[in-house]
Amino acid sequence: MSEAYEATSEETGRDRLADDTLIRRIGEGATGLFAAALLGFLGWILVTQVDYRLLASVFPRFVEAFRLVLFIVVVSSVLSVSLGTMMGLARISASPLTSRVAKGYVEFFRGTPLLFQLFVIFLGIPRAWPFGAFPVGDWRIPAAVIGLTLNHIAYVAEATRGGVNAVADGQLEAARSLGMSRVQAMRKVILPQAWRNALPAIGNDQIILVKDTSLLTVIAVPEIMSVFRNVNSNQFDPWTPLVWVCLFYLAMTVSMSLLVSLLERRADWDLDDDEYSWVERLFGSGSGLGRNR
Amino acid sequence: MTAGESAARDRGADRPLVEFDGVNKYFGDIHVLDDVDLTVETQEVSVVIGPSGSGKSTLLRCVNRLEEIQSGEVRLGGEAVSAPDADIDRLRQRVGMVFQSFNLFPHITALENITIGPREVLGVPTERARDRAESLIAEVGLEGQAESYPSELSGGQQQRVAIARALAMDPDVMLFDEVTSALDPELVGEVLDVMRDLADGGMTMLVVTHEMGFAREVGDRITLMADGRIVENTAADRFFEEPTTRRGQAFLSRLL
Amino acid sequence: MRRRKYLKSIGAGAAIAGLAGCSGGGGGSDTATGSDDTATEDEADTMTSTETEAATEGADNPYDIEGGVVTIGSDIPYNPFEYRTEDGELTGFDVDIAEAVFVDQLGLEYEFQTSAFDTIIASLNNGNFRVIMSAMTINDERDEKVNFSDPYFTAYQTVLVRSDSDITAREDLRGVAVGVQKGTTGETAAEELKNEFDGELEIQSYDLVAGAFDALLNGQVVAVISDNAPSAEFANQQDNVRFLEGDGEAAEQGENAPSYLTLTVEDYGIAFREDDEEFLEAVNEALAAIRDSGRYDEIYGEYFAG
Repeated sequence: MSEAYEATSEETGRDRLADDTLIRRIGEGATGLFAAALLGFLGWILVTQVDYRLLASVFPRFVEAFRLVLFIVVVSSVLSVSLGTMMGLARISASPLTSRVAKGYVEFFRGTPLLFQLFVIFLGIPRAWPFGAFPVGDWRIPAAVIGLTLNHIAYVAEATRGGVNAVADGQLEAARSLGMSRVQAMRKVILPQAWRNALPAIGNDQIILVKDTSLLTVIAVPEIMSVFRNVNSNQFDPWTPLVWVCLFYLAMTVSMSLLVSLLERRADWDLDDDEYSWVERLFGSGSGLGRNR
Repeated sequence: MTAGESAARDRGADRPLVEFDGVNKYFGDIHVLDDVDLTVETQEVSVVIGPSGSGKSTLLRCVNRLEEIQSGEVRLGGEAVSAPDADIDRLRQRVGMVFQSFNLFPHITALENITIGPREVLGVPTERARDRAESLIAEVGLEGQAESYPSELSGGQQQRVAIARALAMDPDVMLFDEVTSALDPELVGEVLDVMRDLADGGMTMLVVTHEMGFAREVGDRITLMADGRIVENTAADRFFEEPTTRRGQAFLSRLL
Repeated sequence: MRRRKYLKSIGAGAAIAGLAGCSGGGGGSDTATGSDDTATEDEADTMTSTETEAATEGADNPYDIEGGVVTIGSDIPYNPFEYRTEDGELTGFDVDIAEAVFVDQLGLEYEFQTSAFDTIIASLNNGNFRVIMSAMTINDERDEKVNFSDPYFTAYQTVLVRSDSDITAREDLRGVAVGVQKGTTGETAAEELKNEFDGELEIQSYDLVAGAFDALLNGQVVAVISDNAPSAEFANQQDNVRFLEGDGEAAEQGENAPSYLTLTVEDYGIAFREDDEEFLEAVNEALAAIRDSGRYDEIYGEYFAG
């Protein structure tokens, strides 16, 4: 240490919290404790609170509910992503009418609770018909799909808009200076890049869509939470059916995550996929940051 | 024949290719282009120099209407680019532009960058576009890099692909906006070589640059700008021997 | 250094806020108290808790009632047992019985707390409230988890259909969709019916009984299986629904059977935690007392004429 600082440094020294190794150890310690507590709790539940006979006997009902939720998720997901990207493009349209209407749509469906939207669609729409004349026999599932789709269109639209905004201005300039029309520039240059940018946000939103299906219980859709409530209220046992709730939701959200991960890697033109094994391709995120830098 | 020669052949060399006529432009309150009059003749290499903020880049970007003007007129081969009813997409096909930050399309290969303009805008069939692109990529010295993605290329290589991309559209005039300013010094030369070859082939070029050596060797006319005004506009050799204005003299003396 | 202090002060503020939240007691309960300060002059007389306010300690509080206020878990609204008028005032058969039993007889105050019906027993056992008064049917499954007071009301599971429907008998329900409320004996009755029909019955379970009624009006379900009282209330308000007629359980049991079809005969009770025996006994005595005094019949007459 140079003489200029020697005198005072001896007294104060470097701040202990600046020590990388120390902080890391503290972090590892806290994480270890947390993990141990969580596993302990989980173990206690599985050993003392779960009735395995009941677990087996209610399984078929959960499977049926799971299949219904899967159907709703697939339909709503496809619709919300495709229509949502269009709404996102409307949002950034050069036409003031289009962009304002799209902005209003997004504000409304993002700004009000999904529960509210489900009620309006499920309870409100049939009222527009005279008593008993509503043509749809079982309105619960169509209402569920419509509600989830309309809601998530708003989020996908915003993710798309963010993705487009993240594309450098120079890209549009270069495309247009070649003589491309705005539409051509969007289709061939901007949108492919915007899609890659928006994919994480869109994937995130779709995972939320899976969990949003739990709200459908309030419009009497016989999905996973409804089965749980039924078993719980009749058998007075919450932990046992909760095991299935947890597993079935995780099955869907983890699959969705993997799918998004795969799509992200495929959309990433900087990544040379041949370098990685299929395991890495499926479970890796494609960005190299953070690994022992 | 080279790109420059084919352009010159198509256009009668009797009137200026690019004309600025009393052009004024404001960014808010700032008067970025102040009563600018400028002409670029066919096959002329016109170099624009000057300190930062003098409006050089803005001037260039008015030619293909990436910037709008508030008064005056910009004309390309007699047609008004700045008119509200101008068919801007069609006019832009005749102007090739190369940017300081390259702006290559990162999601497609170098070759595809070069073919995308002809295919999408001009409707050229894929095979013909590929053939043309391959010869252009050879002209700029990058035959082996055709299938590489921009992120795999050095700055100088990317810029040369960008030049080929612009040339693929068979433009009448090429605009160069400080195209070497973002490059490492050792890569500057390869780009300037391509530009020199282009000039020798007879391409009309409007070049904004800080590279005085290039301006002196390759330029036909030098335009000096300061504070949005054109301060001096003389033949290149005369400018470097004996600038006519004091401003020009001051600028030159600081360089040498 | 400035950033450090800023972070510390946020941490301290959050801790203080957390503590303040804890001591404020469980929030979010939808309450109506026996000693509501906003009561109008007319109602002040009926809320006579001030005369016999219970102390909170010692021999004056033998059932260990916190603050002298009995918290009552209930699925509100459930006409006509517990529901709110347009002004937001809580009223209903259960409310009036609570007044008679807890205030008049036992000298305590009471406070209703809203709960979802299908989790109400779990809530009771978790200590969220002291008793359940929610038009709750006494049955064996529930009896395993709670203790019930003596019955204080007799009800039937009934079937409500639209006036213009061609359902006239129980058998006609085969193959249709019916609406019920989650966790109720109506849901159980529907499930038994489904078994009887070898699975040819679709059951739609709604959070609130009102949801099932809406579904009936919207044509989503053909019938609603629910207790007679709320169904009667609903039928009175609407011109276009009617009860399914016929002889059912009530007729079989030789009770004063109503003219409509009864799938079951049920008794309502007040539910207590299983270790709350002393309080349960006191309430049973109070129930007996209000029957003897005629107060029960007065209240009954207000809500169930004829």
